[in-house]
Amino acid sequence: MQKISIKKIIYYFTKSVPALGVTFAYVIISMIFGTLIGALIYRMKTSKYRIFRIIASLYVTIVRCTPSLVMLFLVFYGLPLLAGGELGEWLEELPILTFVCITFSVFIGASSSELIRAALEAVAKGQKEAGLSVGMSSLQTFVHVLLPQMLRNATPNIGNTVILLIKEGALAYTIGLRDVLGQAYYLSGREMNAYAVSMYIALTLIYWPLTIILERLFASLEHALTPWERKNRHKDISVGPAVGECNI
Amino acid sequence: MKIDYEFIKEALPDIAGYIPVTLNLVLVSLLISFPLGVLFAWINYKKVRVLSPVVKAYMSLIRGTPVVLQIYIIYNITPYILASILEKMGSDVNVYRLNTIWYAYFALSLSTTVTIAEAMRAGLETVNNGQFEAGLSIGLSAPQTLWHIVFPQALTAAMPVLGNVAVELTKATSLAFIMAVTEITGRAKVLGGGVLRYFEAYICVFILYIVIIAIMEQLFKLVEKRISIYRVGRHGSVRI
Repeated sequence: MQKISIKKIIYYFTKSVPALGVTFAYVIISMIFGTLIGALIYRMKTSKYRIFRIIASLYVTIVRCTPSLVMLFLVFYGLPLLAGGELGEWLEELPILTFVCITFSVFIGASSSELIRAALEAVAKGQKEAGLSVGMSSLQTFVHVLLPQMLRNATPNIGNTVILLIKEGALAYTIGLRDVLGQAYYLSGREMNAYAVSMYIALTLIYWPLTIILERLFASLEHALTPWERKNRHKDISVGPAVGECNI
Repeated sequence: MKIDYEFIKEALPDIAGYIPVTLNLVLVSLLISFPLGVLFAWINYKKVRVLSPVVKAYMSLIRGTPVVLQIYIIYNITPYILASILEKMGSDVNVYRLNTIWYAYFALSLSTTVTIAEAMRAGLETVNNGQFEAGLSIGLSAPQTLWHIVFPQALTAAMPVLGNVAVELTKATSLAFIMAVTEITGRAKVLGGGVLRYFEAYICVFILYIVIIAIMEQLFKLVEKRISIYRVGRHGSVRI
């Protein structure tokens, strides 16, 4: 059994923490583009044309059934191949981060279309009518009345998605991305994995507190956004983070 | 480079031959993690002293770390620990010759147990306390009440989430290739790597996963329908 060396744990910890920047970069980019795709999919789902509805539900089903590892490989190897020619060559030159962002945007697109639906349904229908009745345009009603309430409703799920993304993104080391896990593996590989156990401990010490902090952060954000529910709040927490509510 | 359709045609049946390994991983991991998950849910629900904080810490740790990391830790550290334990016991079993699929079962069960525990706890919370008391009042013992009255209702409530857990687990088995278990993803990696046709190989895996999971979801829908007879209030009355 390898000896656990405190010095090595600190070494891996301090060297890998800066790579959190990469992690947050793909999390933020994928969240933004994923939500845009999700909005589009939601729009297609509620479209009056059957073809759009079929495409949207096909997209969600297919993404839901694909392991993120397989999707990551498909995007990484497949995009340049499918594009072909000069475009393909240009795509091959792009940084790995781009492919990771594309993959996770596709995933978030599927789960966020459900989130958007749930968040919209939770906003009482009268709110929209009330907005229209005071003379706002439908865009104004959406931005000033519906959107703030939707964001509020979606906060717990957004939190779950961010945490899930950070963990799933660790898979991207398989295509060579140097996020936290990738960086630690790269460093460990240079030392012939002689201190692998110390590296695992360092990684646990990064990921575990990070998730706990994020969980707390989103819980207090939800708390801050829903002042009128504070009295009943303890009832809501007891359910714990919603399992299976957003699937990537 | 062009997409090689011939390669896809040849590789698909080859990779499909490894579906039993994937299903094996899913089934055994579920069999390990379901009883454990129910136990953990019960411990958390009843807030058992000492045990409940331990279970909570375990759940937080597993939820807080990536599955890849868990897999690496299990795969690289358990053999050492096992070997040193066996050495002390004076056994001459060589753990390094153990089939790596055992480590895969273990690693995949870790996170599945946590999600099942969460689903079952939410399920238990939907069961009215009066149900338990009603069971006791007609003379059933506490374990009998649990088994015949509370548990079926909790399971019914948790079923949709459990279906999701099974789907997530199936997707997670794609990581087993890290532990040198050749299931469909692992086979695709080997086939694709040999001739540098990764994309075509992964297209096959992609198709297979969609088929497997689509069938699984249909099965779960059937189970849900069958089990819904336990749901209180269906047709306005309890039918058990």
